[in-house]
Amino acid sequence: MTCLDCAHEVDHCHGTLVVRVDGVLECTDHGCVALVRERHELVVVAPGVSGTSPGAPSDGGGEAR
Amino acid sequence: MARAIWTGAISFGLVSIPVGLFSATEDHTVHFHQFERGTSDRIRYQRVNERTGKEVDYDDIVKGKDVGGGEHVIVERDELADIAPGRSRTLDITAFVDLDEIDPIFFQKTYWLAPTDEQYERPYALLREAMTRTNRAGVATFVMRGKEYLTAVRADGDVLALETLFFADEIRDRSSLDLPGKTKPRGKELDMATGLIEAMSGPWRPEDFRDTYTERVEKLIEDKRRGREIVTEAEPPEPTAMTDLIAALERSVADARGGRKPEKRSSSKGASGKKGKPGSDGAASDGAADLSALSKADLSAMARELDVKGRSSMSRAELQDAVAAASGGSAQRKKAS
Repeated sequence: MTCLDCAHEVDHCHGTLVVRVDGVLECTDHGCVALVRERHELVVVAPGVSGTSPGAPSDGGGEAR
Repeated sequence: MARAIWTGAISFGLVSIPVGLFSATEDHTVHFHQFERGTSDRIRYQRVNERTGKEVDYDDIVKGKDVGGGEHVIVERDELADIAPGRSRTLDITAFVDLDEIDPIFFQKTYWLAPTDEQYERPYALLREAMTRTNRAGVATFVMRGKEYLTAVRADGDVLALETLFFADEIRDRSSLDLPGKTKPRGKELDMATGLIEAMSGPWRPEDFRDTYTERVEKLIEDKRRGREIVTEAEPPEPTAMTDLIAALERSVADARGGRKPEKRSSSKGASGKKGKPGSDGAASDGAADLSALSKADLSAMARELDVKGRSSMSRAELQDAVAAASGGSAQRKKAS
């Protein structure tokens, strides 16, 4: 399958952005240069290391978007 | 030149301007990697098939929506693209609104738009100048990487800026908060508070404000890397008791009018310098080794970093001797990679 973003030569990442509810962002692509939502087609919201903190967004655990 | 994160065309009326989208802001927050405590082992996220345990490539990943009962509806990327044909390549302005009408709560993030070719500079400048003259912003939606964005396109000096906005249903209902809306402050308190605000008023100079927390995090890391002492700052101020409110306001106004910053309690809490491993509490002082305080796991990790041969079969005592020898008597460790 051809990636349209590759075809258009725009800045994007094929990794999955992991958005932890404690606000920390990680990417499964170890070479990812910018941990921002808009560069990623695949995003999951996962619990943080210390679990959900008070006042943190309650997006649910492990939800893919 | 930076690469655009999206390319497409701004469309308003019959005019279409091919543009690229560039982030106007960047996050300077220190991003930490995760390690297992007592080791130098990174924790990483991988996309694995939960049944086989094998990593799955990007091209082989499809999205599935949980529809209950343990069932998922699988959706291909092409199918998602097909339900909004053209939307992912067009920024379609459907209305122009007064910028001042948009409540700041809706603003999400700012980008710049740039024409993709010189030949499009004229219609780009036309749209920019017209919006400057009218102080209006173009409201548009577009789709980028599987998400629809509501945006306001506005003139910002020589460029067009794009603000992503929250949709109205993404703004939380504040009626669920227990707000003191019906509480009316007394006259003198209100006068004092107003006076304080006026005394502290000035022009907006964003360059006057720095992310001092990130600077402290960076300094903490640098100090720990160099094995220096770390001094923590004072406790935050305690909430003002109701009986002290007027007195606190009076002192604040006097301080602000006198050009002094309000008094702050400060204290230097104990040092917590470290020379140990990630997650260890620091086992040495002044750069000298105190390996006897370290656990076997700590010593194993240090031995691995120092590339001590035969470390896996060593006892704790042997590891201690080997680490001390390999580090030349200093337990100062290398930065975890």
